[in-house]
Amino acid sequence: MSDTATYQDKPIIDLQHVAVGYDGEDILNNVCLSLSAGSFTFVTGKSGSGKTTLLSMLYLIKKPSKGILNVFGNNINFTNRHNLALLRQKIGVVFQDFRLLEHLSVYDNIALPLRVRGMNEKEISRRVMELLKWIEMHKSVYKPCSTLSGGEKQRVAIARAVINRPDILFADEPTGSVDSEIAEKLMRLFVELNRVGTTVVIATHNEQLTSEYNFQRIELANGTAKLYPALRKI
Amino acid sequence: MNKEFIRKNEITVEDEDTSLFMYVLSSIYMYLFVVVLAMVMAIHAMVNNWEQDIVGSITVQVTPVEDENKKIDAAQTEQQVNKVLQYMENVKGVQSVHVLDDKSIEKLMTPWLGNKIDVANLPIPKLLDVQLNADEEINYDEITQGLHKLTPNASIDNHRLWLNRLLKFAGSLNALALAVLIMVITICAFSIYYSARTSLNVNIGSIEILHIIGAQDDYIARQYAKSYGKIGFFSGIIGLMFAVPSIIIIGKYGISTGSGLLSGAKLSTLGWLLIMLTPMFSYFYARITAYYTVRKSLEKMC
Repeated sequence: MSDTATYQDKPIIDLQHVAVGYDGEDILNNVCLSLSAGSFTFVTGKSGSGKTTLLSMLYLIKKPSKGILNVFGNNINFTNRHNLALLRQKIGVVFQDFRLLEHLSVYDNIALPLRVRGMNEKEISRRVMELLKWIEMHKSVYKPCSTLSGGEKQRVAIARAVINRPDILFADEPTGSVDSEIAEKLMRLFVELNRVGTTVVIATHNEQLTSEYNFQRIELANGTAKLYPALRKI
Repeated sequence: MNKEFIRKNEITVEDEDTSLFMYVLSSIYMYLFVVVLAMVMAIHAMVNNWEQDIVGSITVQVTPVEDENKKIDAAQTEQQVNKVLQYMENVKGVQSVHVLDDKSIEKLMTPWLGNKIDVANLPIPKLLDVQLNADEEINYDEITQGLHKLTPNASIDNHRLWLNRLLKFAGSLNALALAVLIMVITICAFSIYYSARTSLNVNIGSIEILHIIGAQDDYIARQYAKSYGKIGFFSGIIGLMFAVPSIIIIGKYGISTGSGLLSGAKLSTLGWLLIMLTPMFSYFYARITAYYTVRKSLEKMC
């Protein structure tokens, strides 16, 4: 999160007339919005409205078919593969289906973002063990992820997303497959991460969640996106 | 090391059925590679041996003299051989001359006529082995004319004439073996290429996750290189284990035919060392091929 201050004077994410979709067919069109560093944003909309598509573009795995996407001040259309990977290293993603590497252990899954950055194993071990205690999974360090329960997998997925202390954290329906108590805990975690400076973007169709946590909201409907500001400060 | 601490690859090439297929296929390729490589080196050694054997020597042959009844006149033949011997000993540049005895001729003829031959009663020319001084030039035309004047039955057999034909044959054989070697290497590269491409498709989910968390293509390609390097090395060992006995058997069989021509087709210590190093070659070859296949494929994939 060291670079966050750099984006204070300009948006950390900026979309200008962006279109994105699959196989030449755009799902979202003419999207114009900006997210400032340190903001907390919900992405809402019905199923199939393009929440996951928008997120996958924002975490830089999809390129816009039209328009300009700036992330960390870099125009993604003109960013090469090497630099794109470097930008992705500053982003954390939590998926609804966790997307863990099932054959790897809990430890190796959490260590992954640090290993791709080339960090030494001693420092990796220190950070992973610290995080494992925090998510209360220090007794399952070497368990393969294929043997974990849904709740445990989610904790590992979150640990993997935050281990490299990302500048932006994306979460795609993080509360979709957990009960209300765990959903509440998760939200408190995201708010806490946001409080220490992480820009948080959460895609959800959970209206209760968006009304309870009054943050700005990107509403996806009719193939486009509109940004609604938070009604009040919490 | 504690089993728990063994770090697994993020990309699991070695757990797939394709890796077993690759082990079998690569072992066969490595077997062929080692055998053909040995063949190339043996042919090379054989050609060198031929050249060393005949440089600085010529053969003069005297066809047997026949009497009126078309039977070999041994006395007349012996007389002519002696004349030729004396003549050759006085030629400038000749170091020594000796007449090959029947036993030596029989040995030379064995590969073509078999073991049980009676040289004395066959119309086989008498042969004179002429050793030349290395630093003196020989006028072959003058010797040919001199011999012809002496007796029409004598002629010079410059080894170079038939050696050139043999060298051409050996050259073709070597080119063929090299072509097979290149073919094996190329097919091996294609196998790695298609196997790695298949594996990329199988692991597309893991690769996407690695990309999302910021992995460079180099990081993913190195994982493949590591796995394929392992396959290459162990395939090299398996190929070598089967190839070495084959080379020894082929070598023994070649020598047991009794052919003097093949006796030079032996592998030197350097040759054997090169053969023993093939698993290392296989390791690096598989590593490099897999690495660049994955790098290029990833650039096209996403």
